[in-house]
Amino acid sequence: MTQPTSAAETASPQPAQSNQQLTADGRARLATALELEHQAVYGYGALGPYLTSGQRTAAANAQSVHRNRRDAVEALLGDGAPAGAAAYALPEVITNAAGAVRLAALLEDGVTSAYRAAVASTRGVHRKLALDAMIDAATRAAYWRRAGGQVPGTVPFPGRPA
Amino acid sequence: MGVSAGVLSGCGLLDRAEPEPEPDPLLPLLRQTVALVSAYEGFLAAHPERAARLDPLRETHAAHVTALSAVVVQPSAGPSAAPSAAPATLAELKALESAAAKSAYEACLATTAERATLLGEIAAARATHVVAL
Repeated sequence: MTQPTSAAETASPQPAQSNQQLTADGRARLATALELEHQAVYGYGALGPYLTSGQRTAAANAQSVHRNRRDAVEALLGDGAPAGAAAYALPEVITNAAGAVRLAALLEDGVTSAYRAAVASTRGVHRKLALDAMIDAATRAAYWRRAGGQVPGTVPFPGRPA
Repeated sequence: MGVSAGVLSGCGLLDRAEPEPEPDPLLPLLRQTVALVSAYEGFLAAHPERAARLDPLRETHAAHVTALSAVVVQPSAGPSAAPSAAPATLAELKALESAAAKSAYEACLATTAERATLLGEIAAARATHVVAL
């Protein structure tokens, strides 16, 4: 009998596991990411009215992206996926546009960290989902830091705990 | 490779030294990262007025070289990058970042669990650079 020699098989520490299967760890980490997506959707709704009109469009686009990812992860996790809360305690009190921009960056940082934590626990299409979401959130976090006056607004290791 | 084919092939196999181990699959990414640092250094030497915006990006690539060097098995010669001309324009630098972001993205999807987080961080950092440039 010949062994399967696909790249996915040879790279796998657990050859018995299917590429499409989520481990309990991967599932738990994506559930955390889902909670952060719920929070981001809520947070953008709360901060949007404080922004300038141009930034408001960016925030609406961001909220729509987070809503889509929330739905995708929710569908993936199925039963037992964490439901969104009616309201969230946000990490920044918003009183003006500058505070709203800071909060938007914080929300994206949180989402970036959550998906970063899922990358190593997932494979195949699930790792791709986590990586795409991580990159997207990191890019938006940098955008909001630039909007807040930080140049270039990037960080060396996006999502890594400080 | 110095072993004559044909009549000596059987002996040739036995005479060969230990086969070289497979190169680390992340070696090309490490070399690309070293080359990126050089590209930024070359560009900044010609455009010092860009330092405020570009120095943090160059430092990020240097930090990635350090992080990758710690995990990638390197040949004894070290991470030598083929010297190449510095990018002449910001658009050329951006094209390098864009290609590098793609490499790190693909490497992250293909790699082991142990290496995936670092590669994800590198892919994400490069993606943010492309937008920041």
